[in-house]
Amino acid sequence: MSLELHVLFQIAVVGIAAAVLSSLLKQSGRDEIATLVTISALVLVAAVVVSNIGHLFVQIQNVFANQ
Amino acid sequence: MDILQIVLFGIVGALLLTSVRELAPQVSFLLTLLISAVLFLIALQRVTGILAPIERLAALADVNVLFFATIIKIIGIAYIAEFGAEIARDAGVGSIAGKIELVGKLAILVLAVPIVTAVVETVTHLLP
Repeated sequence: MSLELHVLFQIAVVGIAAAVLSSLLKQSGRDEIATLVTISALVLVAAVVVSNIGHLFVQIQNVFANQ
Repeated sequence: MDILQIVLFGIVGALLLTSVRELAPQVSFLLTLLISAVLFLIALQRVTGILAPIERLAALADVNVLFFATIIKIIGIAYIAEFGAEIARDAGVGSIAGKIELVGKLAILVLAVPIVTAVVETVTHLLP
């Protein structure tokens, strides 16, 4: 997995959009939808990050644990 | 020239972090996790390049393969323990980082025991 800069930007965009959206929803009175939006953004970002971390650990096992 | 790319990748990540930090603190933690994972992956590719010649040298000097394998495992453990400890410290929980480092040290200690016993045995054989 080479240097994917776009993954970084995607995550930043999702985070910022979720923050803005939830504050917007809070202003317009729908608080529970705001928390839902924040949580779903977190889950989305976590899914991407966890898959990358899993890939890293598989690589580590290939390098260090096959002797 | 790819060192430039790697450093710029880290800088861009840090830049994004400053903006995401006050807007969405949880997402900023996940972003740091991702950046360090990618940088560790690149460091890992460098390490694989180093391991092959060292292995050949070890075979040349007919070092016992078992020792070399445990040394490689120890490096791997240190590698992962440091990754986890830094992430935990970055998340603000220094105590968990300390625990992760403790577990890493103990695992390395466990792996180092056979090598230490082998050294002590060879030394005792040398003594009259």
